[in-house]
Amino acid sequence: MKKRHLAASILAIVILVLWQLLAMKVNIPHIIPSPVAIVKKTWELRETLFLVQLPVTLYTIVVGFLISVGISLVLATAMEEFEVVEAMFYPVLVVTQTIPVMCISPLFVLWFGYTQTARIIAVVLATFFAITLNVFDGLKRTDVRKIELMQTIGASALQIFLHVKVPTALPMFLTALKMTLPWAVIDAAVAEWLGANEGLGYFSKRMISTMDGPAVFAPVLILTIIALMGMAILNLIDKKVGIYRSEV
Amino acid sequence: MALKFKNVTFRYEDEPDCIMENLSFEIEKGGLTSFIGASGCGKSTAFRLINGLLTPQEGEIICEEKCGYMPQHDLLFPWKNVEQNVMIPLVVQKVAKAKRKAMAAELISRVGLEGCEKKYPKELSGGMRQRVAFARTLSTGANMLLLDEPFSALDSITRVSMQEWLLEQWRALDKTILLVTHDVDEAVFLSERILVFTGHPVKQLMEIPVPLPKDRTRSMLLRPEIIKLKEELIKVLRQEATL
Repeated sequence: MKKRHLAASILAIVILVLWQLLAMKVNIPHIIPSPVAIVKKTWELRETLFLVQLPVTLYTIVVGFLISVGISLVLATAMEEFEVVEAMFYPVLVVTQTIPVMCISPLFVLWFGYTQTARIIAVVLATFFAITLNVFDGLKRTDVRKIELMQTIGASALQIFLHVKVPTALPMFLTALKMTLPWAVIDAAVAEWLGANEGLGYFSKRMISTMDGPAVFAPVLILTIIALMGMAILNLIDKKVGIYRSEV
Repeated sequence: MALKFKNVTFRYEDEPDCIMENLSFEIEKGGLTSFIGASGCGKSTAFRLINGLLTPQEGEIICEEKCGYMPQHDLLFPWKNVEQNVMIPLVVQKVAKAKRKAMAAELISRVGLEGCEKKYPKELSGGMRQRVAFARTLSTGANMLLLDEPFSALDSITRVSMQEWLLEQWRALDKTILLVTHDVDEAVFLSERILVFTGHPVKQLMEIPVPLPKDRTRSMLLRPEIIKLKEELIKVLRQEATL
């Protein structure tokens, strides 16, 4: 594992060095800003980036993601418990998953204006299909023999749900979170591009009009770090509770 | 008497033929009885009828004891450690936490797994997993244990020692044990009484008493009368088996 990390780090460093050299050779900062220039700019703009823009974007991501998880868990459970709900929603979910949410985000701007609500809806729509489908598949994967074993013990439907179905679905739920978290970050930023007067995405877009290359990239750097930190947290949780994935 | 099948007829809903028809038999308290038969003969179905997963179309099943079912594959929950797996029936029955911990500790030591409480199923060998499953079956508080081919997934060496282990447990426990098996050696070595499932549908069970004492040893299987009994049993089963 350690060796793999080392190999990946070497590649990352090589890419950064090449990028730096290329940027220095071309020497047009608003076309190719160098990594060093981006970090410098991030430091210069730290107050507005971290204290003004970041909280706005982070709020969109966190609230959107939480709402999405909430809806997904309720819908997936309902689909698993009631065949009618499954018959109604499953095909629709599979199809709607293919809609590029970013392309319909401008609609939300039309409906809700330049508000955070519009951006939160974009995040929810970008992530909840995938989480719902994964949780549903996870619940469906429950071993019938384990359910029967519980029935012979005299377990109620609720006990079977809590002690067998939920743990069976948990690893797939975590997989879904890891899969969709980057989408949440991306969609929050893009939604800010499309219709906002605050947030990291909005800030990045505004910097394009001032031809300030490093300042365009600075919010991207922060967004990347947010996504990486989120993934690290999810991986940590997964290592604690999702390790039995292959045994379910 | 621990269990009585009275004129039981059962047919799976989507199948035209009955599995068992007008079947009657009784199981005495405290005994170790084997159900043997070719696959698909209805022995597992009988278990599912006993533990209530299936209901007969006709007839009556009178079960005076509480049943604990131990499935063919251990079906331990990989997200729970040994202690938590053993406690599942106690959690379902809403036994208080301190009490169920104490009960689990006693059962784990009974099956010889002290020190493994916090281990997860994947860290255990096949034989150990079966012993955890056995402890989980005991923790239901059942007096009649239904063991459905409990050792069929084990390698032959482990299976032999698990059979001896089960005999010890039975002698110590004062429980009625019903064992489903398709292994003639296993049936003869373990049971006081063998019930052979024959015919489609099964209308009656052929009963074969095993003339061996409770504290038997494997060498007793070499007695001439036991070898003869095994040969007869194999003959009966071969007539049933469809290749």
